Amino acid sequence: MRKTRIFITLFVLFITACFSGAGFAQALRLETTMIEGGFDEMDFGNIRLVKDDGELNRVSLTRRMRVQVFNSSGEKYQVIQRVTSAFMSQRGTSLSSDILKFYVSGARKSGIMDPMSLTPVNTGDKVIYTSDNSGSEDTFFIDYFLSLSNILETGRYQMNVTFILTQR
Amino acid sequence: MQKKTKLFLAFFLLVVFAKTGLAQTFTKNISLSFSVEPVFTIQVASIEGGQDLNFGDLSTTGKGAIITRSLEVSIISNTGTPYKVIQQSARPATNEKGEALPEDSIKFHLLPSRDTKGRLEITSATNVTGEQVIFSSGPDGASDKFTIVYELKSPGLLNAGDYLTSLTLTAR
Repeated sequence: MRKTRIFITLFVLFITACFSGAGFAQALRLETTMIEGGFDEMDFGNIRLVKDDGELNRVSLTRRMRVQVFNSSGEKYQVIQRVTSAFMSQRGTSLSSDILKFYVSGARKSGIMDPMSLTPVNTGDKVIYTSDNSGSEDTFFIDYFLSLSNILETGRYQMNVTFILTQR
Repeated sequence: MQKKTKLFLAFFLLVVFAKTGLAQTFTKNISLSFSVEPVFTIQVASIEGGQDLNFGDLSTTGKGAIITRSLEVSIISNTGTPYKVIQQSARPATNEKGEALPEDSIKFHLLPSRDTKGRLEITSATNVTGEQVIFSSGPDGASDKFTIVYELKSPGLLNAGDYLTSLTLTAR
């Protein structure tokens, strides 16, 4: 009977250890909120590139996103911005990465933000936030600036950005 | 402890240490988007200034003298649809009394601009009359530019008055 109890206890501990991945997800987590509304989509809206008088309409639009990092592990972490492609139309036309720039601001803790001045959103990985050594939870903002000064084909343009929160 | 129990405990500890050593990651995908509204517009400007073509005072020119005026035409389009530019002339130029200039007094032809991409349909002097297709875009319907040159050949002695007509340029 005693052996059976020990076996059951160990079995329960084993199962807990095996499925503790769900616990990790809660220990290190990131939430995004668009200041203009929504959580996962940043829409710059409908853009008219020509004024009523026929002149080219140079467009500059800004959207802000709040990033909240939750971390109960006590470990240092980084937030990486991963971009796999620039804005692309439904017809497959890819735009220059220069039309979208960004910067990071407003961290409340002692983390390091980068970049803190306007920088093109290039493809690849970019570390945008590094926490302090104790992995303090933090909130910061990312401002995205869209600038259009040429006539683009009509339609919808889209790109995806992945934020990777990882322990160091 | 039995051998089986020891083995089980060892395996359990292995799993725990392995899990603890893994770097934790969390990913979040964001979609960024915008839409561009369709644009399809035509603009004309006289190279000599303004939108009117004024050939000036013909009383000081001799018969057969040729006076030229030019229009720069710009089509802005992002629809990706091919288009044509049509010139319409409702009537010959007439004065206040309804007296008309001879129909062949005003001729025109097109010249390419530096970055014209479409096809100029009229490249030699042609009478301005009725509805005429003057330009065809490429298959991608891209924005384009060209110049229309109008030539007025002075018919000699005319009855006094301001001779007027109107031209309409349409892209469709």
